[in-house]
Amino acid sequence: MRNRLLMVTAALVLASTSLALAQTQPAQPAPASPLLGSVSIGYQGSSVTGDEARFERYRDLRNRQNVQFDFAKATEKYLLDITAINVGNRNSAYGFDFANSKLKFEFSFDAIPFNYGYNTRTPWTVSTNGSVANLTLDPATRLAIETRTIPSGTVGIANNAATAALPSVWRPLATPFDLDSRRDSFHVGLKYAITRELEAEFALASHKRHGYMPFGGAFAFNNANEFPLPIDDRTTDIEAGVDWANDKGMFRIAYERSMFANTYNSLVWDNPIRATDYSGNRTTVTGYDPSGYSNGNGPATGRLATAPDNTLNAVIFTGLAKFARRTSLSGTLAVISMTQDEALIPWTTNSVIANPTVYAAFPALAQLPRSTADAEVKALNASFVFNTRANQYVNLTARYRYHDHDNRTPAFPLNNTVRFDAVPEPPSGSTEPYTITQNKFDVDASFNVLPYTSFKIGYGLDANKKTYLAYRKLTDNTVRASVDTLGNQYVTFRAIFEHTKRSGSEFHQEAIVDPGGQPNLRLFDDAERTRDRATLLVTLMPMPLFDITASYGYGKDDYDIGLNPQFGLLNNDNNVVNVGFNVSPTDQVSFGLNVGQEKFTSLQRSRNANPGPDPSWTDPSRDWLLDNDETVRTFDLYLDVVRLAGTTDLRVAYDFSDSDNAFVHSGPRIDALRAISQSEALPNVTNKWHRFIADLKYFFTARAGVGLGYWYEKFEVSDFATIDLPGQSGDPRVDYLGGITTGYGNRPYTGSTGFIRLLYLF
Amino acid sequence: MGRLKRTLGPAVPIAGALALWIVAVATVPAESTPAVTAATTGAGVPAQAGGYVGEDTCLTCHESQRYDRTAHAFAANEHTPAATHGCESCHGPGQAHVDGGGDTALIKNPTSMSPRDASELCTTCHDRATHALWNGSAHDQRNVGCASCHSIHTAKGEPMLAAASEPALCGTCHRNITNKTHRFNHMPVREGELKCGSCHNVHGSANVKLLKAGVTVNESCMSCHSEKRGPMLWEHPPVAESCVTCHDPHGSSNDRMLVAKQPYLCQRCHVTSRHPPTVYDGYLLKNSQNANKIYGRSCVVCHQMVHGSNAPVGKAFLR
Repeated sequence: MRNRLLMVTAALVLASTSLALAQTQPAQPAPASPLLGSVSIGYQGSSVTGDEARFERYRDLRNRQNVQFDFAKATEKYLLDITAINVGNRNSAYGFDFANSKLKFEFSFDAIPFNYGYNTRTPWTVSTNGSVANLTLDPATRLAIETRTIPSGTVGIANNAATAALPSVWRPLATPFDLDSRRDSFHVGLKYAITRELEAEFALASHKRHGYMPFGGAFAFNNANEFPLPIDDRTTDIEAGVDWANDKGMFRIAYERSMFANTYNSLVWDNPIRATDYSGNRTTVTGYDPSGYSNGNGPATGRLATAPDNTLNAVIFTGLAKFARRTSLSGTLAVISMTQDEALIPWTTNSVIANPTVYAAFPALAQLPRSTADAEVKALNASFVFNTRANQYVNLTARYRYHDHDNRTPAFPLNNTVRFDAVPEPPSGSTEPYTITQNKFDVDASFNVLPYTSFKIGYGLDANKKTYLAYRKLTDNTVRASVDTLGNQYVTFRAIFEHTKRSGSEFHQEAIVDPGGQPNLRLFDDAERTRDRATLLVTLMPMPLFDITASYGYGKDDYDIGLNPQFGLLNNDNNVVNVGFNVSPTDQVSFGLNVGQEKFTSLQRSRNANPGPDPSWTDPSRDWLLDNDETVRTFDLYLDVVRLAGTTDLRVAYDFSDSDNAFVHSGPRIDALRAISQSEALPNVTNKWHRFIADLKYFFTARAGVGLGYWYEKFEVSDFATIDLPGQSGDPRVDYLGGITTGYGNRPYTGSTGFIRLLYLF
Repeated sequence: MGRLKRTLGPAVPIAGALALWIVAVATVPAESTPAVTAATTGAGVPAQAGGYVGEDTCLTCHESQRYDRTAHAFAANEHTPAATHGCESCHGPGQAHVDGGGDTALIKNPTSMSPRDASELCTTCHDRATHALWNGSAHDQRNVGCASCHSIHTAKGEPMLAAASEPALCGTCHRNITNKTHRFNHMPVREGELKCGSCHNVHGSANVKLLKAGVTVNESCMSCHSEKRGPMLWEHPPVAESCVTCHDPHGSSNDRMLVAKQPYLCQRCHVTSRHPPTVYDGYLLKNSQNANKIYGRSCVVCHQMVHGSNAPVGKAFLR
């Protein structure tokens, strides 16, 4: 209520102050002396209904102080720049830059929150033990579910229509918590001019992530859970380099080292439907259930490996040589090494599996092939560009890029494995250390033979060699043409068209079939395709300070190579249109508007089947298609007023985005399911986002003033993947069919934030 | 009870801030006019051989084009215009222009030159570090020059941008991209935490799409998202191929900025048997435990290590 009062007050003051501008106030001239900086001290308050976390998202809009500071001083001898933004808030940022004739020093700190949900709930309790994060559940409840002694009218996990309406016994035990995290980034840079031509530089950056993120952990098809994963990791980047340049060229050599360290390298979490490792099957040596991965007869706990510590080292050479007749050659060469040698977690912590009796039947589970990952990639990157403008009519550019990603990680054999910590399984291949070598060559020539116009044609060849994928060689041939106007004060016209044909060779169908894929499946990131892209941009400037811009973009990817039938992504295309204008009638006033629409469509085919020799595997009547069609409309409006009457700055903006995303299943399998009332269309996923911003600064004197700000956002969303409690829209349900979750989802909000601050320029 | 509804009452801090402001206003001097430091403008450089007339001469007619308080005015740096020929460092010797009564054809004006010619002026100095790879870069090839984006004398944003912010500037041509920051799953660009230049070096780079780190999309993304860098024991090929196989880094209406909603994105490739190619529609969503493949985290509620697993049993990214 108080915040609503604050919002209304801010809005009324904003309005009344605007009206006051029309009244006779003596214009306050701008300060005669150059200003060094400003300080803004004030307060912010917000009022939100609905999903508060999504309203905040990457911001801190709590009721609290709002303090900004900046100072910049330039003398003959040095430059100094100090900034402080959102002082004391979760999204604060600080900067300090200093430069003199020889030295340049910069420091920055930036905190970025990531707010997932404030109404999320979880029955798991989070604790940590060294490098292991533990998520534990109430043991009595777990045992009750396991022994089927839970109270009548409840379930452990709902798994069909009949139980879908029943609450899980975990629902009342799920306690609310804030699901959020923050990234704190710290950067220090130093550059020293040894001589006029030679510079040395050093930089240190550290990025720390801490908090929680939603994470999944499953024990079976019917038991897929989501919980808060604690995050505490740090990436430290060090860079040192020497840079030499004169009017003939430049050369730079640099060393970079990046180290990622994760406090929690593994996660252990309790199974919500079991308190003990299942051992009741009479057909196996220790009683494990061979179907435990689907029916839930599995372990009491699970253990997974989270992001491992890793290190990257790189030596980078960059050079530029300038020749006569406006010709230059530039290049970059980087030698990179990436390593990761984290200790491996055991095959399983399930005591029914991890015992000598099982090892007798699955001997490879007795120990790991190696105790650490021993993962290593050596990479070599190179890029060279030749550019010449020997005359005013022709410009030629040739570029070569090379990338070699040589994965030297020894293969890790899977002579036995364990699925879902529930079922030991026979040999299943080994890891496939992915390696790729890319050679990319582009040549472009532009011709300035007509006044104000440049035509360009170009060709690109992108040849890739890969391991383990279906096509061991993929080659893209691209042709492109563009036209751009130059130097015409009334019209700017830009258009480009590109056509790419991707061809594959050394096709290894076993890469698709051996993992169980349909023979006619093509994986869209490793498939032949044709791609067309076109964009058109026209800007008309009938008079100074007024422009109208229209742009159109088109893209189409076609993966259909005529297989009958072909599975996977068949095609996707998009169309984008934007029209807008900008007007600046005076140096102090500008306003503009843009309207846009984007349409994305895609078509994919699949077959709902069991593996061969089941007849469904080859039955075309089991095929189905999915047509995904999204339309997004945007609208933006802005008004900027700078020092009107010498006293007033005003910015007003309105932004709008409206998305409608449809998922339409069709095909013979869908027809068959509909015939037996086992298919139902999905509702469209829709969202609308409105944002209104108003920011007013009014200076009573040359240096002192008041600032008022008002932000309004409204987000409407309808998403079938977000599950709320029945009859309680916006209240997450954490115990829907098939799992226990945090309830994190996409929910609407309406929020307002008001700012009032005092301004002083000095 | 929401977090944002907790309040101590705005009246108290507002009153306190108001009092502070009154004190500040009451104590500010009526006038304070520190002298303009002539040295910072490069003034006093005398006319020399070579047709230079000196900056003072330029400013007699072009007073409004002073470049005080910009990096170009930092005379202590021997590379800057202020330390060399002032205005004429960029606009060329001005003697002919003065003798011609201000004939605009006798002086270089980057805003009316061809983009490439104007850029050549700038890159006589700006040809190292982030500007080293300008020649032949994507923008250079499309005749987008330095003066297309930067305004030395009437900058609206930093650094010397012709618009108030990078997204506003880049959006004049790349509107379809900047509009994506309106999607509700987005990088923190519209919140001001990131900008286009956080990922792209618009002046030229060794990478595709002017990405500034590395030579591949993955090297760029993993320069910040280093927890995905690995290398992992079990790799997911589309991840190792390119992050943009699955993600749209500019913004998306789908969770986690995916190019399509799960499980349908995964079903573009996973046409195997049993549950991967199951029809996940409204019927399953309401009637079956398989709804856990549709709602919430969808496929990655089980296959949570989708970016790669370091677990010995991580073949299907379940651990």
